[in-house]
Amino acid sequence: MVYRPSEGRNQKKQTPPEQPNLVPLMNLFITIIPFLLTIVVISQVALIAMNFSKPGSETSGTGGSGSGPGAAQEIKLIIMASSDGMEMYPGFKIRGWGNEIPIRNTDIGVGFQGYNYIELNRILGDIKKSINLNEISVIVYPDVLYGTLVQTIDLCKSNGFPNVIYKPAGVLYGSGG
Amino acid sequence: MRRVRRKFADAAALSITSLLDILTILLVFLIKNVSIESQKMTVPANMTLPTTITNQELLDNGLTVLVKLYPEQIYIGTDNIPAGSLRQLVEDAKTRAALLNFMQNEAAQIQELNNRRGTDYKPCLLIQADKQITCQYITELIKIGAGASFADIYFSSIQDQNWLQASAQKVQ
Repeated sequence: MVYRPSEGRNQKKQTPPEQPNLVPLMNLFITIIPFLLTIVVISQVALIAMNFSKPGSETSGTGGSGSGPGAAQEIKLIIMASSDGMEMYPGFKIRGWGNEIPIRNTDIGVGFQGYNYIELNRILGDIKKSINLNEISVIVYPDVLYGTLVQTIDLCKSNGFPNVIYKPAGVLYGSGG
Repeated sequence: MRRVRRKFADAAALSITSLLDILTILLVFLIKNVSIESQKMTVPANMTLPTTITNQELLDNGLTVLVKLYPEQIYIGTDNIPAGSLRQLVEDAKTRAALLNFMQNEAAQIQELNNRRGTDYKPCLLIQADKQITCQYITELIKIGAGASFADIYFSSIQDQNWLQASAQKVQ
């Protein structure tokens, strides 16, 4: 007598499919995500470039007076912070083409040390319209704040002076050699 | 004849633990590298950068050397190596010499890389400075950078299209 095969013989075990163990992966992500979030940059960082193709020539000059060949064509934007009578006062001074335009600090923009950037912006725009130059020299006194310098260079560049030459004013620093 | 069926064991679950170990090690290296690169384009902690309208791109073939100027300390390189105080920068010749030496070494390494790979990378100096420090220190640093053959110098800032208008507002 032939018996039919038992049904349980061919019956596969109905086990649930194997799931990959994601616990270590999740642990890793939980560790990394807060770390990555801490290094996320919210603010947009910008760069202001200056080129010193001739090493030493830009930074070694005194930069105070306008002598030498081509001086008439050169525009000098002097940034001053401290007051020294009539010649030095807190503010800007633009020299060039035989003119000198003072822009004294005002009581506006106290958060910006009183520098009248609006007036500087307007004058730089007028100069660019009247004189087609791409170059401007920024002469900065030692006690001027770095923020003021960068924002002045920023205005020069945004008004069509891509070549900004940085010149420190002829003041000696320290005595350490 | 009775046929014997061979019983196959259920396929073992793929162990991803080893894979995760490798990934962990890789991620640590990658994150370290990313953080070094991102340092150049992020705002350093406890530093207030000036705001600007314009934003210029870094040279395509530029390799930057980072210098951070805090009111009390100077850090050089992406590893933030302390390089003295601002006062030492202008008063101490040894501090200036050390900075010059560091920059010259960095420039020489870039030159060596160019020679080895036939590339044309240019050394660029990236200055990240607090906006409250005075320009005498910036001037000194630029002099040192120019002395170490850094022709292109970049200042880090925060892009803000409205800072000019904000400067016109009278603080009450």
